[in-house]
Amino acid sequence: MKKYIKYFLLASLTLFTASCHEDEIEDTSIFDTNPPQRNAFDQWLMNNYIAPYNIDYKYKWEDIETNMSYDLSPAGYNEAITLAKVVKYVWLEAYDEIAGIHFMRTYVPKQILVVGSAAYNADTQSTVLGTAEGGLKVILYNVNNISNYVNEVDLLNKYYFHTMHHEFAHILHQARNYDPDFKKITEADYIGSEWTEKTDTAANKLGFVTAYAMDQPDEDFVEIIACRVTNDQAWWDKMLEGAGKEGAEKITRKFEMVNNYLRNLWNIDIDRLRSVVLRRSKEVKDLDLNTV
Amino acid sequence: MNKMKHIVFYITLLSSISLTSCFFAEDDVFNQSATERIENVQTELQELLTQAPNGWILEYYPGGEAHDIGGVVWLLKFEGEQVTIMSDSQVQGYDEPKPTMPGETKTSIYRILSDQGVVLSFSTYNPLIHYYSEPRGGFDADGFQGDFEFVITSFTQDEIQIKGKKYGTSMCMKRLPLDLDWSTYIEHCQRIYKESAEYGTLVGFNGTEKFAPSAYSQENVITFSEQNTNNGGLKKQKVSFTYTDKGIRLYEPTVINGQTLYELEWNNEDKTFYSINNRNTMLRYVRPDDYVPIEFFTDNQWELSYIFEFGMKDTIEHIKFTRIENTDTLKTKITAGNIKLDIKAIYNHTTGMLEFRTQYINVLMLTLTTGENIDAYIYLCPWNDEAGTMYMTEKAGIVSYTEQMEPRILKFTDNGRTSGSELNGFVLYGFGGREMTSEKLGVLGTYNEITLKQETKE
Repeated sequence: MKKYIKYFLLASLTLFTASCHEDEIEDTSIFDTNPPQRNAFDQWLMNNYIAPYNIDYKYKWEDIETNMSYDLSPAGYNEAITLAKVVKYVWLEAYDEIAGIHFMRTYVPKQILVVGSAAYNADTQSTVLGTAEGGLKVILYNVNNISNYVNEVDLLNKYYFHTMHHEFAHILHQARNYDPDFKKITEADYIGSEWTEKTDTAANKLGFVTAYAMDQPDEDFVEIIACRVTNDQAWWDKMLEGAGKEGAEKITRKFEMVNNYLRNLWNIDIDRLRSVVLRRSKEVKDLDLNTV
Repeated sequence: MNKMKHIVFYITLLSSISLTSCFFAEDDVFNQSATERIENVQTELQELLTQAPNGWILEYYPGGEAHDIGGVVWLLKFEGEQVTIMSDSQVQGYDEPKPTMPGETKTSIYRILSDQGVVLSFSTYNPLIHYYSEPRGGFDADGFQGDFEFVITSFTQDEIQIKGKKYGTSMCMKRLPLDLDWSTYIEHCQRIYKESAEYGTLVGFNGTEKFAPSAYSQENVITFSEQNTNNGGLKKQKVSFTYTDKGIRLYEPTVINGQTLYELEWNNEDKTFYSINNRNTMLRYVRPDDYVPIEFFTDNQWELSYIFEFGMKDTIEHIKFTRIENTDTLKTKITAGNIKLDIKAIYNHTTGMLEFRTQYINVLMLTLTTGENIDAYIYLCPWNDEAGTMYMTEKAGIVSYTEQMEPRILKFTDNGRTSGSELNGFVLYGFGGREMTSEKLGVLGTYNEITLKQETKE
């Protein structure tokens, strides 16, 4: 019996050691290092996204970059150009103006992926317009719809800028956390995915700026930023009025914490940022959004 | 002695380590590394695609794994990173202000990637392609379940075999002959579509013998009925097809009651598709025995019966159909609770049948148990009562079939316009707003086992 064990041992050793056949290291890389053929838009992105911000703006479909639990469609070429220009003008350069380009270069997500359709969840009947993952990547959906919005500041705000500020705010709080006391103000009313059953008006009364803010504290935090910078003071006052005394008081307390957070940790004045964003959103209609 | 044995053993062991190492110098199966081979195939494919001067034809099949909602023709020309496409079908992308017509071309970007092997990806939006894969709002989140990325399974100079990456439908892209004019090809497809659309009912003949007594053709799908040998009942088989410049081609060779059907040539003289392989086998359009003109519905009074409220009540009511102006749409009234609502039925000229499809009905003021009054936007949505699933897509519906000729009795079944469904009735459903994406309020009533009986005149 022992003998067999030895033979087996020998046999297995033989197997383990039989792999020293000379495999030369190939001098060619498995990665193609030749510069790709760049079309006019690719070249524009080189000059306007990669060189100044080191952002990879992906508009050609790569399923692996998307969330495969949705059925999605790729962005249109012209629509991707329009959105790239709008994002640069109203988002990147708004922060450049307030906080300097170095701030933006440091914290901006390194990849922006644009998707043609919105991401619809048939079970919850909710629609995803944007996501940010760990500060690295922002996905913007519904790009093929952009031509319907470029002349309407309200709609641009609703469908794009709101999402973009929302996602960027996630990146900021993931880098430097906000005061944990923020979560306590409306602690009992975070309801996860059930937020889809709430209306914004009902959410306001409970002390949230939107229904989505009721999902969880992080969403609440960034929704306050997104709503504040993409809407004017009249909108904000009206929202507070509709929220009633109790709701308005909670929203205002939360907003003060957000305001302090941005000022103390990032040296950003949220209301100055708002005036820059609103001015730039109004100017979008005068930009050339097609030529690259 | 014992020690000696050990030493011998260890020497053997050591030598096995040192000696065996280079015994198995295997020859590589391929001369090149895996990466190089993939890259070469990508380059080869890129050249193959772009170097077809007149481009390629793809008969494309959406409709998920069952690919049972009909096929379309795509003519494709690959140049650089761009592909230009022409189709025989009219499509309108979800976000598009106007449709793309048959024969119109659209250009977008394609890429050849390597993930599940070598993949042809249509990577920027083109309505002619992505119409079939894009989500169409929250209530139709998976759209028509078509692919826009394809794994290349094999290729020759003239044929590229592809397989949809998500739904796995196999298709074949063929090189177009130099002398084929794209617009003419599409016009021929369209002509055959129009000429053959007179009736929806086909009869399969082998010589003079009927092998398929009633097949039903609608929007690039033929539904064959086969005698089920086990219980004598009828088994339905749906087969998708595309139009060609000469006739139609089924998704794949299909055996119906012993006859193989695949490519068929259209003859407009006798309204017949002849099998190319065997001209004795044919599908002929016939006027169905139970065909009735639209006036048959408006001139008669009808007894409508159904089970209501999740099977709780049997109901009979007496209804009349009126024609909306000169359209093929008929209007009638149906009871829901203590009110009557106008609903629309579509008369189909090719079959002489009626369809109830998803439709907006009216806005009603409802009083909740809390005493609060709310506006409810009522829709008719086709559904299956056993599965409990309702459909909100535009074309979903139930279609009538003849149960008895004299006096006429009609019952209703799935209209075949949604993949994988078996609709058998409808619900009236209340929404919070005019759009179906708005808040869902609930079911106002369910209608199943719907029967229409022609009332005989005294």
